[in-house]
Amino acid sequence: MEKPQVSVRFYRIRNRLLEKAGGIGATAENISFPPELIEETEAQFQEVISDYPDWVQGTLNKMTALVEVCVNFPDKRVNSYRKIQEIAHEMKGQGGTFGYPLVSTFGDSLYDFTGSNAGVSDNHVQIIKAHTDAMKATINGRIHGDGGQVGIELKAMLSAAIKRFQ
Amino acid sequence: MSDFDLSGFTIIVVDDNSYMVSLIKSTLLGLGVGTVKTFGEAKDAIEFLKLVKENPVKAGAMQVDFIVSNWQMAPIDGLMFLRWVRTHKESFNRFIPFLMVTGFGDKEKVEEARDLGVSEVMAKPFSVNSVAEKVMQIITSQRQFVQNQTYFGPDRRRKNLPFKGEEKRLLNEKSPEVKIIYE
Repeated sequence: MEKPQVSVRFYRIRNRLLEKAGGIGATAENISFPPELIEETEAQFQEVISDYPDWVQGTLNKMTALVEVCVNFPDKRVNSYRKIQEIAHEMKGQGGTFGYPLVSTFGDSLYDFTGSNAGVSDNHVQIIKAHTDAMKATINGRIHGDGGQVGIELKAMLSAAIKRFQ
Repeated sequence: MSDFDLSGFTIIVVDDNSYMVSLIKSTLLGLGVGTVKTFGEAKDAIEFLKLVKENPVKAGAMQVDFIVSNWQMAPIDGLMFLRWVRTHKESFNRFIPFLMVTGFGDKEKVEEARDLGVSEVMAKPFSVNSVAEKVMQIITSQRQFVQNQTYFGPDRRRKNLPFKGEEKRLLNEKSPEVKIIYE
């Protein structure tokens, strides 16, 4: 009888990374990062992220310029939305990492408002502008965490703008 | 309990956002990684990996232990980069662990990366703890690789749990159509 053709291959590879990181005999159960190393790295992490507001100005300026294009050139709105959406997606990811979860919240909402089915009316552009204004206010005001009372007000202002122009 | 010693590790980080690159790099160095090579474009990372394969002395790296890549990049995004690593004949190492960093948190997107052979996915926003956790997962829980007509990558079944009822799997490791290769 003819032997069936092999259609699936399982490659079982020795875990050389674990041996390299922990030596012979290391297992997932007996190896870890020392807590003090995590703490030191966390301190460095906080130092790196402290200049995020300065670094992100270029991105904010680019987003502001794209919104201006939307305001002034209705025929360029669809294309500009796509670019704004890319920035919104990036900033959504950055916000939480760099200590600005409100930027993630606003970025997430902006992402939805610039999707492929987004409206191209002047009112819709105003909703987009309200989002970018809220993101700029958060970063330029260095509003960390949930922002306390200021955060509540920013969210309320954005909700009011959405309600007004929708 | 012993400590990870990653001083002999070389990791490459690819992200078109220079700030994110420096943040991930400093985090990995903080966790003790010996060498972190960074790239702003997947194209440059691919050239580097090819050079490591062809001429490690010239590349300045004898090996690369795993890859950390952002998903959303242009012109080559993280998925295309992953596809190259897993399937291209010039790939440096088709089995290399690949950690995808992404703001896409929805199930469909994660499944898309999984079906192209990603090892782990790390969601943004991330923290030192989440980076450390993913590094630990990559190092400690290496899965077997599966190759069939439509897939090549780490076994998408992370656990092989017993189940009650009829056996519905078409093949198992004892089937003559299945070959097990130990490397």
